[in-house]
Amino acid sequence: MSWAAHELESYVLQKHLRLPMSFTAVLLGCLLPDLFTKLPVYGLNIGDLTYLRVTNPALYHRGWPGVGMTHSLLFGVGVSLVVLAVFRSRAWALGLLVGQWAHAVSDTFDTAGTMLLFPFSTQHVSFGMWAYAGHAGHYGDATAYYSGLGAVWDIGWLVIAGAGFAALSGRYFATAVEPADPTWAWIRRRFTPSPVALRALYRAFFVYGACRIVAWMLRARVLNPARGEQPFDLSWGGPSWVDAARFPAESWADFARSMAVGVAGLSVTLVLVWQLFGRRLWLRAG
Amino acid sequence: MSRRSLADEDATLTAGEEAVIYAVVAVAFIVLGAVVGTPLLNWICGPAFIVGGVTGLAAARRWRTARRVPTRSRSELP
Repeated sequence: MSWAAHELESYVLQKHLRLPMSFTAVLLGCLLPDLFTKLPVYGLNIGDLTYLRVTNPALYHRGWPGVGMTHSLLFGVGVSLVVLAVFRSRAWALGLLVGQWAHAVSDTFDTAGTMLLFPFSTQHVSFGMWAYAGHAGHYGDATAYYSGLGAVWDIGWLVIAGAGFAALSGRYFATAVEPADPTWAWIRRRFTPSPVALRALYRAFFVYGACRIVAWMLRARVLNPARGEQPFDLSWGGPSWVDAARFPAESWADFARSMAVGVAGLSVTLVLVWQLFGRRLWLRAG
Repeated sequence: MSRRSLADEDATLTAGEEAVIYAVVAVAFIVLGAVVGTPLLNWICGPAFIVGGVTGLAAARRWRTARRVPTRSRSELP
């Protein structure tokens, strides 16, 4: 799984896609697939005891049976349609869709991958760049992620987000972010925050994402007492010292067949959804 | 001091001062996060720490400025 990338993506997408979408919705969409599914992956640790932990975290989190459908493209479409129908907000529907899709696609870079084309295919799409190690617990997973190409992935997103530094300025917030999202006006009315507090709220996940990378790397590479046996390893799919979760296809032909069925099913469904009620909901929304 | 006047004063915070506040909060978060781990580095506590830290430090600066500089009423302003 990606770690800080999910927070940083939202700033990059909001700035560069130039779509009329809510930043808050993009951020929420980026967090959505893991929002209610991550706790059972690591469990709730109280003292030496762990509660609520599933026996196979990778299968539960990304697979089927499990909640892996939260990382599929159709899940984002479904959530966006519900938001479009209930709140009649194009900015929120579009933001949630873009954010959720970004999360689902960026998680394909680990060894577990995501079922992008669920329910038409349960085949995981994975580039296998770094090891998925949810079964190693929160600290084990963090240590593996920040000891391999996961660290490079997060730092890459930090550089991309940092390169568009203007997107964090007060001027950009006032001219591009706030007008596109009624949430900020609501926050102003409801809580009357100072401008500093409002800007801090907007920048919070960027600062949090950036600091989180450094904090986890310090923990993994400096404070970790087992760092000697868990060296930094930039090999593809590494680090090699952790047992990575994988969901490979039986053969390339099997993978291609499954993908073809999935793409066809998703395409037909998207066209039908748009024709039957998506278009009507979109036109009705503001 | 009313909420509106607090907001007006916050607007006078220079970009440099704001950057220093963010840097202080970031360093504190990194050090505490590396030591404490999960309880602080999660999606709720982490951003809440950043927002709370920045607004808290901005409020502390405002309080210090208010103590040093005598306040002038609007009618006294040029």
